[in-house]
Parts: sequence; structure tokens; C-alpha cells
Amino acid sequence: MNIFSLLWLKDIDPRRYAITRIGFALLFFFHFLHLLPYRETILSNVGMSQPSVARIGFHELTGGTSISLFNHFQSSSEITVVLIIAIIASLILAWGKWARIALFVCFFVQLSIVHRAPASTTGWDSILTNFGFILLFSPLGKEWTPWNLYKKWNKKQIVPYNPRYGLVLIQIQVFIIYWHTVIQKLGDHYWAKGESITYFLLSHHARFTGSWPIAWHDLLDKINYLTLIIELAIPVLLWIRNTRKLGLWLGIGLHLSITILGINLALFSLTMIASYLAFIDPWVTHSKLINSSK
Amino acid sequence: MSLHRKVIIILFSTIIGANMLLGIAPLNTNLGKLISTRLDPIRWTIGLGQKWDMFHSIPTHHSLHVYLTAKDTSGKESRYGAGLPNFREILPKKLIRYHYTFLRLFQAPINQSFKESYIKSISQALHKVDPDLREFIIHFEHGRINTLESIRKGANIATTKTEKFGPYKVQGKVER
Repeated sequence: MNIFSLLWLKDIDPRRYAITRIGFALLFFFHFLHLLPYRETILSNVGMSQPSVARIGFHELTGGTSISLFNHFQSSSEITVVLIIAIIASLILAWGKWARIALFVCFFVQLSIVHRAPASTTGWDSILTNFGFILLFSPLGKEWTPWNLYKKWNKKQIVPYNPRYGLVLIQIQVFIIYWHTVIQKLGDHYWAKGESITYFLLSHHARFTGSWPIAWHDLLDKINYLTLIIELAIPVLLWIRNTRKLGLWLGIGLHLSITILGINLALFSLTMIASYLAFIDPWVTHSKLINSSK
Repeated sequence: MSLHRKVIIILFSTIIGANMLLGIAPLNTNLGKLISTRLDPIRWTIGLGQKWDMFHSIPTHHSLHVYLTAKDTSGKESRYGAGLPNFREILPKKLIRYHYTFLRLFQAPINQSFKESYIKSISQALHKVDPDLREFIIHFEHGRINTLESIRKGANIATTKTEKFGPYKVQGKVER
């Protein structure tokens, strides 16, 4: 029991939850904006699939039960209204007032999108849904508006403290995301042969088109293996306080590179970078003092 | 904090944490498949699905273009975009979700229900646009990247291949 208490219940500065909440709120905001052009085609009953079929299809793909809002709100105008409400909720969540309700709206709309159009989902949909679920049951540092946070960033004495379980769960999820993807990549032909980055830069994802990656293949081959090492290292480096800065630099560098070299992947990169907020602790010295004095 | 609340937090966090840790097993292993079969129905229903395969299989598509051709009673052929409801041209490179959607619909048999629903939706929508239309074909034009060796030797980056799905009947009233 003591181990579990130490793992999940150790007190941390509530501002850590606040910066994570604000980061994910902004992420939800950009994500829902990004979905607007797709809304009729993938979510409405005049689009690519009917809600009744989506319920069956979701079950066939996942074994789960579709509880999508969009099984009930099916017309283009209704879907537009739901997305606009989600966009407003994400801004309210960032501000902090009614944060729990706002987060529930963001999470449930996001879950509904995955349930309604599982064939149209992207990697960051799953990440956002998972993190949304965790945050829904975590402290949110809701008394900290962005403005308060800015004004009292350097304040030392902050009470009450919050148990850290929400941030630890996000940290574990980040670990699993990176490590699982590396394990999968190790079994893949292109990654094993060192060709993955070259193919990526020749693919539909490439921002800079042309056959130039062929000429750079010797370098890209090394970057291929370096990427795997970096992906394995990022969560470990982020976890250890002394190497956290290096982890941040490597992680942000990796995801910025993906955003610059690839198109349509900015939200994926932003999602992963936002998840680093669960690791960072600008108020670490003070927290340590408080915990040791208890 | 009350003891009651502490116990709830510990239980909740331990269960959710264990679910994540079980997600480390790759889905192509027996253990991964077993865990996935047992847990996925709950995981995906509540939003805790664990499928982290971003870029594990590198994209081999250079381009993708999907469009429709439909014939009316006189045999005259017209071309339409693949985007519903207005048959607008879709550029999957600009809107990445369409790229994933079309690839899954036409290259992954597990999405058969969504593919059939898309075909039925097109059928109905075409009938609304022009009741004289009788049948349509879906053209799935994709450029697959050639081997690095062949590109080095002067081949094009990709070889474009057009797969045709159909012809399907244009029907006004489709039973769903």
C-alpha cells in the first residue's frame, strides 16, 4: 500500500496540473478546428457512412460499443453546432472555470468522433482520447487561470497540494506510446533496412517533393536508426530530473522535424509535445522542500 | 484527503496504469493478440484503446487520387469527385484524414462495412444529382513508391496504378 501511495498520492504543486490542463485545452482547440473541414464527409448522415453502419463498423473494428454523440446528432448543421460547442469548451477549459464540465465536453466529443468514424482516425486521435480520459479523473489546477499562472509563476508558497496520479498516468502512457511504436518498428522491413526516413520523405507526407532523398540516403539511413534510439530514450530522459532538459530538446526536436519535413502532421507533433507537460516541474525545488518537511 | 478517497485514487490509477502497461505487447504477437481480444471492447468503448503504431509501417504511397465516373441511360459518362455530399474533388494530400479513410476502405477488408456504406451513399447521392444515371465506378488511383535502387537507376519516384471498383448500380431508394 505504501508503494502505491508513494507512486500515486505524492503531493505536487497544483500549477503542474494547470499547465497540463492549459496545454491540452489548446490542443483540443486546434484539433476541433482541424476537424471542421471534414465534418460533413466523415461525421454526417449525408457523408461517407450512415450512423447505423458506423455503429456496426466500430464494433467490427474494435469489439467495442459505439456511444457516439453523432449517432444522435447526424445532420451537417447539428454536427457543426456540436463542434463549435467543443471549440468553446476547449477555450473554457484553458481558462479554468467550469474546467471539469468543459473537459467532459471536449473528451466526449472526441470519443464520439472516434466511435463515429473509426476508419478516418489518425494516431493523435487515440492519444488525445486517452489523455482526455485520464485528465477527466485528475486534478486540473482549475483555480489557476493562465493569467493567474503568469502573475504568480515565481510564487513559492502554493497550497493546497494535489496528488500526482494524473500526471504519472500520462507519463506512463507516453512511455508506452514511444516504446510500443519502437517495438513495432523493429519488426518492420523498412525500419530494419534503414530505409524508413527515405521512404517517408518520398511519400505523400513529404513537404519537399522530388527525388532528393535518394541522394541523401546514406545520411537518412543513419537517421533511421538514430530515430529509434531517440524514441526509446525520450521517455526515460524525461522521467529522470537531471536529463529532463535533454529529453525535452530531443523530443521537441524530433517532433518539430516531423512537422517541418512532413505535411499534415503538426497536430501529431503538437500532441506529443503537449504530453511532455506532464513531466516538467518548474517549481521542483519548492515541492521537494514541502514534501520533505511533511 | 480521506482514506476512502485515497483508496479510490489508488484503485483507479492502478487499473488504468495496468491497462497501459499491457499495451506494450505488440499486436502481432500471441500475447498482444490475447490481451487485445480481451480488453479492446472495454478499452475502445471508454476511450482507452492502446494501439500505437504511428509510422511503424512506413508509407509507401507517393500519391492518392480517388474519383468517380458514372454512366447515364444513353451511355454518356460523367466524372465526379469522391467527396460526399457534393461530389467535390478530394485532395488527400491536403486533408490527411481522407488519405487514411480511402486507404482503409479500399485496401483493408476489415473496413468492409464502411466501404459498402460509402458505395450505397454514393449510389443515393448520384440518383439525387441526376436520376438518369444508371451505374458508377470508383477509380482508386495510387502512386506506389518504387524501390530506392530503381529510383537511383533512373526510374520515376512512383508507379501510378488505377484500381477500379464497380460498376455499381445507381439506386434512389437504398435499404440501409
